Amino acid sequence: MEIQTKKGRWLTNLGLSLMAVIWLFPIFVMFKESLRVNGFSNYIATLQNPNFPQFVFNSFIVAFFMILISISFLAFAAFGFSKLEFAGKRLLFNLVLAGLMLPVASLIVPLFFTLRNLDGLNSYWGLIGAEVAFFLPFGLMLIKSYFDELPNELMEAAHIDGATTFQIFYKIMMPLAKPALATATIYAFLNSWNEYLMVLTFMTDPAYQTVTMAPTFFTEALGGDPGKLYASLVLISLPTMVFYIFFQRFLQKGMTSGAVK
Amino acid sequence: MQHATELPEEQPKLSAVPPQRPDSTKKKAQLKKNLIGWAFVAPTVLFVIAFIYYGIFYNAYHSLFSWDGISFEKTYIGFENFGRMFSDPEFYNALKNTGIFTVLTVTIQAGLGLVLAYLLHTKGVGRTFFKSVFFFPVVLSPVVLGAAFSQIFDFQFGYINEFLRMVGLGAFEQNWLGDQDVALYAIILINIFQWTGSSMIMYYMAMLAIEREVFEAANIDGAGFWRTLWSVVFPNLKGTTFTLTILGVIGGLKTFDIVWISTQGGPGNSTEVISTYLFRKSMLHQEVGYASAVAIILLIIALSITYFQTRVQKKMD
Repeated sequence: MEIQTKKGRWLTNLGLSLMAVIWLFPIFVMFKESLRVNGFSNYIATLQNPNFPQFVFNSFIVAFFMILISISFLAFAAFGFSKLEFAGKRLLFNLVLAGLMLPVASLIVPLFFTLRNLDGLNSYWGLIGAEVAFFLPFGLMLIKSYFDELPNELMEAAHIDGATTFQIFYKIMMPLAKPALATATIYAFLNSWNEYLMVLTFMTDPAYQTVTMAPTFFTEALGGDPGKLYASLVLISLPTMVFYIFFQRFLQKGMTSGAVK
Repeated sequence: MQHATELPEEQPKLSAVPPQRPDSTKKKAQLKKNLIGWAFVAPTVLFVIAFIYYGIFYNAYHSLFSWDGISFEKTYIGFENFGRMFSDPEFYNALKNTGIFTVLTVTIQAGLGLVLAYLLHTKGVGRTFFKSVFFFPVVLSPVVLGAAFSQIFDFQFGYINEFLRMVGLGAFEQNWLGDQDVALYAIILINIFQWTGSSMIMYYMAMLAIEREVFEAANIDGAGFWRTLWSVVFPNLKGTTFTLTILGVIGGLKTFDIVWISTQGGPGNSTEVISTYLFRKSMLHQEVGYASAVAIILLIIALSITYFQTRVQKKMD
């Protein structure tokens, strides 16, 4: 849309700029506080605390396996729900999708006590499993809506040529679905990296905690050294910032493709 | 040759009473189809059942017991947990705060998101940059935002109070996160800051789908900039507004991180929401049976909203 008057254009730009300043302010605050008193040596001190690299390592391990498991499950399921016909399809799809609406807090009791009985607390696999379960509904919606857009003719042609369902899935549909799988991967990473409640509940031992526990840990361990606390916050935000800079188009598209339907 | 191979397949159609064999192959084919389909969706479905649906049954079962989560002994008490919950002022307080939180975030986020999307929709410099800036907080961890805002809201040295004192409005300074009457609204502000970008993107994408002619017609009719937004653009975005409302309500019920990081539900219980109440009862107070009952109510609320959503969406389509 074009604004007709010069004054109108000027006001629009001014309004947007003011809002942008407000929106960047908390991030500016974080950077500024991270340099408090000791400047950049806050960062060095944070990185040298042996617990910090451990948090980062744990986060990467959990995120890696969470992505690996959920994306491979979802590739099959999204194809199945979108392109195959079988008994109970609608019911099963709605069963998974209903999970989208459930707050993690409402299932924290069963998750905690079940994992405790299975030695899943303070272990990677317990957290990974729970994160996968809560990501599957959103991921399914995202990837399935992409499969729905792909024409069925391709499949039918391959079927006539004698290809099995698995061959059609693997050789024809997977390469086409790459953008959707990439979008889901980015969302999965962000979900896992930023997960807070499950880590807080399942991981009482700092050796297994992820980056979202770093601030609490530093506040308690370093007894109120805000410079280092904020340096750790900047450091744990770096991967998400890098992801954002490179993949924000995917993120914005994913936001609408999943939700509008 | 060709003719001969085709014949047997044609035959069933011709005969009045279909012979047994083709019928059973049909059944077999159907079974094979089902098996293939189930195999593809099984990992996802079974995983969700194991973690989520098993959890729902676990909650339903334990809501009928008095259990501290530590001892082996669980005492069956029927619906007593539910009775206690519905006469517990703390439970209603958490519900009320969740309600305030949800209504304010949903409306303000949608309103602000709509205006930002509309401004970005105009032609001009730096639109992509602005869009990136407003959407950015969506990817940040609530841990990070909570810490940044605790600095901004700090009573003594916080940026907001310092600013107010500087411009001579020191009388309006607040203990933003430490005052019972203010803290909930301060947290709502943080939440709005984080999620307005997603409302903006959804409105923006939907605006791109509105035909150019609609804007031009409004212009010819002499509708001004804001008038066009209110009476032409907004009515065209009903679907998006509805989606955002549902997502916002669900998001409100899910809210835990930002509250726990900023205030842990305090001061007093002025920022306690349903999720933090549930966490406190189960993990900190060891009232596991009671917490299961609260979880069941939360699940019922979430699922009825979903049911309502699908009904309305069917009508809209």
